This record gives sequence, structure tokens and C-alpha cells, in this order.
Amino acid sequence: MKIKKLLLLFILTPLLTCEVRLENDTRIMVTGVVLDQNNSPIPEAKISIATKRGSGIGGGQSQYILGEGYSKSNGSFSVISFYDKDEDFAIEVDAGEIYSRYVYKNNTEDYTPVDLTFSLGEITLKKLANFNYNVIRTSGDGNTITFRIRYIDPVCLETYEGTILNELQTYCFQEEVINRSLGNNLPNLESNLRVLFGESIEFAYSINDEPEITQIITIDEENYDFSLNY
Amino acid sequence: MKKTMTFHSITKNLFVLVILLFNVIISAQESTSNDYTEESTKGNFFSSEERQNFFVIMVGGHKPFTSGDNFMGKGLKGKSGIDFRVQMYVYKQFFIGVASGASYLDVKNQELLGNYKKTRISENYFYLGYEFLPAESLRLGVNISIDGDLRYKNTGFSSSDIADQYDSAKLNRYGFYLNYELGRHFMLYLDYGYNISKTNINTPSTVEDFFSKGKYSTIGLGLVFTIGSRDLISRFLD
Repeated sequence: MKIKKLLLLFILTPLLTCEVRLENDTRIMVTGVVLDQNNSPIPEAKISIATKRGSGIGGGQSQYILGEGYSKSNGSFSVISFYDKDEDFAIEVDAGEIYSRYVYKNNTEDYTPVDLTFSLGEITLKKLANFNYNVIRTSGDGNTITFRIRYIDPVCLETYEGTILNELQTYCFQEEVINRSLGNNLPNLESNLRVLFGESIEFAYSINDEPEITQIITIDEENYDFSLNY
Repeated sequence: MKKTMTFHSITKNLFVLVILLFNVIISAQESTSNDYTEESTKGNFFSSEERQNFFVIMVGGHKPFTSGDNFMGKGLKGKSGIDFRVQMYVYKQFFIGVASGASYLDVKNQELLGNYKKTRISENYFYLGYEFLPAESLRLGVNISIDGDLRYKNTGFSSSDIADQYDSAKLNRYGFYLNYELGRHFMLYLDYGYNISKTNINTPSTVEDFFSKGKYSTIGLGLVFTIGSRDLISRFLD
């Protein structure tokens, strides 16, 4: 019986531990320039080179940082990192909460970049704002509202296969739509969205199934408050 | 830059100290040994039958000092190290040896090297050299490595799930030591080694020079045990 338990442990141990093995005798470099939407350089943006792995049976994915660095005052960066041949190799550019985030993904199981260098070129991070919206019922019981918010999602994820951009798996500043209905079950809603500063949001609503009314809202404040009573 | 200057000044001062010590010992020996002939004085300096050894075993520790505009000088900081050497006297004071040791270093700039915290360099090399006998209780040896390998074990990643990563290199080492005899078969040593690490790391061409060569010096202290009192060739000749 003991032997069976030991054998089971011996078989399960490699499945439970997902060790990340970095390439020996290898370093890569990640280069590029971080700019804002006005083409001004963004200094101190954090560049993280990472790889992902499942954390064993029933576990989720864990991210492992292989190299880190920051952009200079002119926005340029050049970060040295270890290399991992993995299907979830990623480079993230993050300039804090006030800017959008950029993620480069590639399957490096069978790919090594030319001259061991990932040249990301110019990366544009757009300034973000909060869109705080309140929809409140003031007309009494029985009244309903349906509304739709159309906005640009401030996420840019580019997926490559080698040097070729995989457009099907790339998601960069795409349009998103939120549809909600309020009524007796949930008469009021207070929520917020992270949206691009300076961009327009379409807010369309219909009260008690009447013809739809559309409002175009230009986000010109870092905290934009919007209220609608019905 | 400040650290490089400090390191250079330490090295320079150590060289000056050894040369001065060497001159003082030679002068003292010449002035106090009027009874000896010039030939016998030279003989005592280069070799001595009474003080001949066959094997010595050296065990000690060292402090590594990285230097230069390379991945070691800019990215690593020496902490400590251990040494184990065995040398055999082939003919008189001419010796060959084998050494095994390790140097422990911390990463001081992750942006230049990658996301890790520590390195252990395993050092294994063969060497040859000559040992002078400048004074009654002192031995001054110079040595050079003839074939050496280094293995960098890089640890301290962002997660314990990341296995240790290894880099390899060839070693060129130039060193000297000063032994102080406490007894016939027991000595203390102080040594200095200048190490050039020629790495096998594959890197982008823009940083190839930075990673291809690393330089570090070691200043060590330890114990010496001796075995035998005749060199190898003399055992066959006499």
C-alpha cells in the first residue's frame, strides 16, 4: 500500500510543479519608444518581459517576470532579459493608471527573433479618463429604461506569430458596447468605465420603449460625471 | 566610476605593498647575510632544499571585486567566495596545480542583466607557477591559469517556480600569493587573482561586447598545508 502511495506521489509531482526553465547562455533585448497620443515621449513607462504558465492541476495561469526596465526621458527603452521558449511569451508596456496599456504576445516555442532583439518600434499609450455614470429612476414604479454605451476599449494587445501579426487574435483600441436595462428589479445604476481621454462616447437610451435618444459625449475631463434621470 | 577608482586604487596599493615588502625582505636578507656567498643567497631566493615541498593544499576564502565596463563591472557586486587548491612542485619551486572554488555576487542592476538577484560562479582551473623564497618564513608565488571554466548559476528570480539559469565561460586568471610559514607543514596565505571571464552568452550584437567579457579580482586569505619535502623530478633524479 505504501509503495502504491509513493508511486502515485512520484507520478503526480511533475504535474503539480510547473517549473519555468530559462534558456541557458542566452539574453534578449527589447527596444522601442513610448509615446502618448500627441507623439510626446512618455518617460518612466515600465517594460516587463514575462512568460506565463499554468500553475498545475486545477490552477490558473501565473505570470513570471524575466526582465524589467523603464523608458528614458525621450521615451526610448532598451531592456535586457532572459529568454523562455513558451507559447505565452509577452512584453508589457505600462505607464501607470493614467495611460492605456500595451501588450505584445508571441509564441516563442519555435521562434527566436533576429539578432535576439524584439524591436517594438513606436508604442502609443493613450491618456485615460473615468466615465462615471448614474442612471436614476425619479418617475416612480413601473417605468423602465434600456440604454447602450458605445466606447473605445483602452486596451491594446497585439499577438504575433513569429514576425507576422495575427489579426484575429489582436485586440487594439476596439469598439465595445454595453447594453443595460433598468426597471422594477433594478431601478438605479451607478457605475464607471475607463475610457480614452478626448474620445467620444455614444450614450443611447429608450424610456418605456419609446423612440431611442442618442447623446454623443466628449470626454474632456479626467473624471467625467454623467447623470440621467428617467 | 567611483567604485572602479576605489577598486583600482586597492589593486594598485596591493601591488605597491607587495613590491615594497619584497624589496625590504631582499635588502634585509642581503644586509644580514654577510656570511653567505652571493651564490648561496640567490639559491635561497629561488629554491631551497630545506624548504622544498611536494604538495601543498590551500583552503581559504576570498572577496571578489568586479570591474570594467562589462556585465560584471556594471551589473554585479562581489560578496564572498571560497577557494580550494592543490599544487604539486614539479621541479624545485616550479609547480602545477588544480583549483576549485566559488564566488558569490549580488546583482546591482537588473535592467542591464535581467530579472534576478544573485549569481554563484563556480571556478575550476589548472594553473602553473613559480614560488620564490624571499625570506625565512615567507614564500611569494606567481601563477597563471592554463585551462579554466566558469559556470554562472543565476538565482533569485521573480518566482521560485523559475528554475536556476546557467551561463558558461572560459577563465583566464593571473595571480600571486604570499605565504607566511607558521611551521614546517603549515602556513597562512594572502593572495590576489585577476580573472577574465570570456563568456559563451548569446546576445544581441549591440550588447555583445558588454556580455562577452567580464572582469573581476579576488583578494583571499586562508591556510596552507604541505606534504612531502622533495619535488617530483628530484625524486627520480636523486
